[in-house]
Amino acid sequence: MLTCRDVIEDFLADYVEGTLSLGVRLKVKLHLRLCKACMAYLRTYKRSRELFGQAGRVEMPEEMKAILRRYLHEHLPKQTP
Amino acid sequence: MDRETELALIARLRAGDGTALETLMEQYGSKIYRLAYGITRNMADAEEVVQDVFLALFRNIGTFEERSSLGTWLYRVTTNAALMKRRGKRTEHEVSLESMLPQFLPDGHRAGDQSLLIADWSQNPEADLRSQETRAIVNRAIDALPQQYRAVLVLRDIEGLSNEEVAEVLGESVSAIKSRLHRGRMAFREELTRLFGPRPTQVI
Repeated sequence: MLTCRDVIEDFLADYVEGTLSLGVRLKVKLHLRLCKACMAYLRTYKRSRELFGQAGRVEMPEEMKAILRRYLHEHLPKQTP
Repeated sequence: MDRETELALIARLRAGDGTALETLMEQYGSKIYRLAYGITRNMADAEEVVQDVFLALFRNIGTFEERSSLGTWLYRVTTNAALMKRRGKRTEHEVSLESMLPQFLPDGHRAGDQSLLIADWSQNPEADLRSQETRAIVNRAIDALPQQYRAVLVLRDIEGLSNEEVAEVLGESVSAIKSRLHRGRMAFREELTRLFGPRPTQVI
């Protein structure tokens, strides 16, 4: 039987990715079914990943784009003939 | 952008045509900004990084090898520039990641407060980014991560690169990237659990 430490440190990332071998995958599944703490860990791990993705999905502000354009115009040569 | 368009733009840059950068800015501007901001967590620094990257692109296009992808090259230059930006002026206290990881007992069970160990806040309405307060909490947790970990998390969980692609961008082994990604996610989860998890009942 896997310990919580085995599940969380060694297998969780690959379990979420679906890249574990069938044998290990079943062992992890069994542990998760019996262990409330690891099940909570798995769910919050996945949710954390989603929240990181959503919070970080920022666009460059329009104002900054305009500044960057001006900056590049000043620092770069115009189209060569 | 398909490969042909990309190569045509590279050829224009090599010929000294600065206007090709305009197209590249449309295509890659936000990706570069997201990565720069994700690593530095500072808008002014991110802006400088974006400027530096586009100038570097124009100046160093001669050294760009066509067999690698422009996206990978830009991510690499951006990551390096962003990591350098914070070096030296890191006034804020940066804690080591070790202290943010889950702790275990000798028998392999997790150590710590039982109510936090079984706390499942994943369906908690509080953990919804539409709320300003939640967004602030999540941003605080992102700020708390060391920047090398933020770099991997941004490339993987925001930009959607594979472990292999991230390894190529950062010039490291796939196993090193996988380990850093998992440790970064664990530390971030730990931070969020502290913020979203059960609080001690207050006596009124």
